[in-house]
Amino acid sequence: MNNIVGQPVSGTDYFERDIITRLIYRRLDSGSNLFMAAPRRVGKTSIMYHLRDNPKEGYAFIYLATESIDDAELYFKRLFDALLNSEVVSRKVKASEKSKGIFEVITDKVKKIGAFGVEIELQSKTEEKYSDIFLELMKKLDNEHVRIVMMIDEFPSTVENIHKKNGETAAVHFLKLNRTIRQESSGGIQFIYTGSIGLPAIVNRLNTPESINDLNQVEIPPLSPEDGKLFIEKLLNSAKVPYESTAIDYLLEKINWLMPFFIQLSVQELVDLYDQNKTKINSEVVDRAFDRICNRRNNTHFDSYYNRLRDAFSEEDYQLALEILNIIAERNKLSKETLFEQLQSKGEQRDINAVIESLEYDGYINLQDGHYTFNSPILQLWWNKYIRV
Amino acid sequence: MTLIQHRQTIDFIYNPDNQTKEQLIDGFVVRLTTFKRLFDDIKGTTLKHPEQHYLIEGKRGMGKTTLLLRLAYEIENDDALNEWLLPIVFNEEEYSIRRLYKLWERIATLLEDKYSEFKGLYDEMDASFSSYPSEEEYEYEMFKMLEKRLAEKGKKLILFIDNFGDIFAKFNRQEVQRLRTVLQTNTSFRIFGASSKVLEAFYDNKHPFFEFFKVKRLHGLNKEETIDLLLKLGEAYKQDQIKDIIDTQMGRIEALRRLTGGVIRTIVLLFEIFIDQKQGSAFSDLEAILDRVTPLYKHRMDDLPAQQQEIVEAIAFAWDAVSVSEISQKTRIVSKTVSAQLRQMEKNEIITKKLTNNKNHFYQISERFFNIWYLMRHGRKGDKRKVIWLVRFLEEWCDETELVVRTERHISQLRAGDYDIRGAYLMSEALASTQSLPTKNQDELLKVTRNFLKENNSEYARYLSEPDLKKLEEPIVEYKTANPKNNDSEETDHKEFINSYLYFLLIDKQYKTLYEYFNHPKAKALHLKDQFKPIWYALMYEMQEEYPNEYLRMGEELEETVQEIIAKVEQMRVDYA
Repeated sequence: MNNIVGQPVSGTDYFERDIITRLIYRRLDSGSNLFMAAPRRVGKTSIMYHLRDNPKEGYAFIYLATESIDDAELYFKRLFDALLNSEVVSRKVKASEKSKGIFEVITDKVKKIGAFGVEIELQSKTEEKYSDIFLELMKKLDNEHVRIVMMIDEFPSTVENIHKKNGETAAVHFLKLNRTIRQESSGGIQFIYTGSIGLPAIVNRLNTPESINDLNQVEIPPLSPEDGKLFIEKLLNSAKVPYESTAIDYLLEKINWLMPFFIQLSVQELVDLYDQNKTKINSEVVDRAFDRICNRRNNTHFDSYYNRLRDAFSEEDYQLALEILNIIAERNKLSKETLFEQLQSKGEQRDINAVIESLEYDGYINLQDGHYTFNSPILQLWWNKYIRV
Repeated sequence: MTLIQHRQTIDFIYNPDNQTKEQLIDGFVVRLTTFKRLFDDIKGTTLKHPEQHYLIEGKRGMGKTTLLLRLAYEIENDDALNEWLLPIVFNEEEYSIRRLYKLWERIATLLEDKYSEFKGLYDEMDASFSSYPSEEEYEYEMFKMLEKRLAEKGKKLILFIDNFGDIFAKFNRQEVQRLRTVLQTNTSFRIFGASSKVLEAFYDNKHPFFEFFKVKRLHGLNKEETIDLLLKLGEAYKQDQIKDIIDTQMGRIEALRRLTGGVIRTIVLLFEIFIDQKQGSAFSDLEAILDRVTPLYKHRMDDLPAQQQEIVEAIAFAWDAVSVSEISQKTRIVSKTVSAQLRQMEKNEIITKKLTNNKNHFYQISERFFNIWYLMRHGRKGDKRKVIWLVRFLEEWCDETELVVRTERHISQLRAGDYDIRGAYLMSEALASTQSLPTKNQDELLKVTRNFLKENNSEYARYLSEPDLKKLEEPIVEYKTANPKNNDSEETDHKEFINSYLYFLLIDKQYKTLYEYFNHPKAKALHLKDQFKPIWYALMYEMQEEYPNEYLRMGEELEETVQEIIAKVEQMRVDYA
């Protein structure tokens, strides 16, 4: 098992996260469309790769990242590109004559638009658009033999891009169009949307919460301590780095929020330290690794997390934001209710919700399972050491 | 870092590109573990799935470019890999890649330049440009064309891109997003980039590349690697004594390593000065190197606002780490402003913060060679601080006997009249400033140098320092007056005498007295702290409870010496109890 740090993992480098896989299938089985919400580096894409490469009987997954797309029609054009060039379609077509007929018609139509070579923006209103054809496909295609699941990575960024480029009306229209497409579906294609920016936060800003209220939200849990331990051991063994068993427990304790990325990052640092000093990994080496991870990000980058708060908030809200982060940093993890109680008991009158939402949106904290934690245990460590003191 | 014999070395140190494949491989003696880890990763993967992309991060002179080239050569030489994996090495500067589609085009040209089976690929791309409605569509389709062509030939690529940060910095946000999508989905290529800066984008939660690459940081060389490098240098320069030094005086190697921060390029430079084969010509080499880096460093300085320039100067002249209040005192800029400017410069990696256990941190110029450049290029004529880096090196590298021998050799070279003039001045000034050179040797050295400079009508004669003999008399007289019983040291060297006195106070745990002695106005005027720096830091070590941060200011290169003093003092307490 290679220690892949940062980017999505596939094949044998993937550490099985059975709980989340089973949860996703349960929801898909019931015909839902999903939104998988999680901060960056939690492993959303790796989970999607895993689904794509190891589909359960009767399922076929297509992965597509739409982060840079800023136009609704371009979005659907790319969806077609991914769909029509995929083996998934040939599977479906082979399995059913009916599907074959549908795809022939659809492919023909898509090719026709493409053949004109006109810019998407210049398409005449009377002409059939990519979105129209996609809606047609959704209406016609059923889930017999194979369910196709399109996994759209960074979907919220697409909404934001459209908002920025074409304004609020266009963004709302895009969201509603997607909802219509889902609702008109005959079940042949389902969607999993993901994004590091919370889709709920965006639709709230656009005042259109109803545009996603059909989506089933899935949260990604961290690894259990047992899995975390197994994962660390696998990685260190593959890198041929010796360790003391107690050091692994100590490392798990330090990482606290056991998302694979933080494990991979820590292991990378441990391997580097071993390469430099050839010392068996013990608690002391773990401390040094953490210091190094922290220091590297410390001066230049973590400071900016701290300084950015001043720009993001008014003076009053800034104080509240600091207070909230301090509380969460100190407590590691605490429930929404406890956080509110604690703040209100101090006579807090300001809009706590708005400040928390901004902190979530800007990547400081996240709400998982009703509890707030820092997105990054490393940032949390730094915060405790330099800010909360 | 590759080395060959003779003076071409300097050019080679700066341009690994100029070396032949064989030269580079032959001289690649450090970073072997990192190389092996990275190569094992390359060798163990098939690119069936998207693979890990790397960024090699390290300061200038750490060997990044060499490492990238070494990996590329190893792939070329590996029969199992070169069947399907083609290394593509980008130039150090790639000015034309300003859009993402240009990156695809550049890959096409590099590919066809090296592998004939891809001939015509770029022309085909270029010719199709006008048939796409937008640059974005062209970019999208060109990547597909590249992928298709590679698949047809059964090849995959590994791109070695130096200064990777400069490339994607020119792309707009959506291009970076698309590049990320390509990197995380494609199985046609992977990237091994390098950067001398920490790329802020990699730690910015909002940036597409946030924590996306596996960053392999090249740290300064460790002890073993420094030894390997020095042995290779010794071999290239036919300097057998290196082996002896390694066998018998490891402390010196360690001091050199710490002084240079383990930066390969700086170690090579100091090594050249140390062997000083051609009567000071190492100094002309140094000048050549300084000239070469001047445009870069000057640019770096010119880009700074005036206040930051002033602050950099204050820190550079101090060489060792300094506090905000010291900077403020020197620059007459209020502390609050200094702090704000420091934060900014720290972010830009011009300076490094040394953390203390309170908020009064210390600051140092991050790149030690930049500091040397600053001192050498901006120090006033006659300012001894100009050679403080060399003083530190000599102090650490040479014990007293060796300093005396080197001084005597230097003196006889000057007497023979065969020495580079500026080199003569700088070397004499540095030797004379070392702590353990006995004052009588210092006296003679400065006299001979002065004559040499005068004979050569050099203006440096005016700037050469005065011997310490005169300057040191005052506190000794004062001390003797205060301690009339201790007058048996008439014959000993004055500096030696003060040294013993300081030791005595330390052994006797008279920390307060010693502290006051160091801080006495007269002692300050004589820069006693500077002259007896290791003892001062040994004292600060003992007084950590009262002055918790003072000890931390010590330059890393002094660490071992100070530890030795502490141990020696400890031993003497036992011996004389």
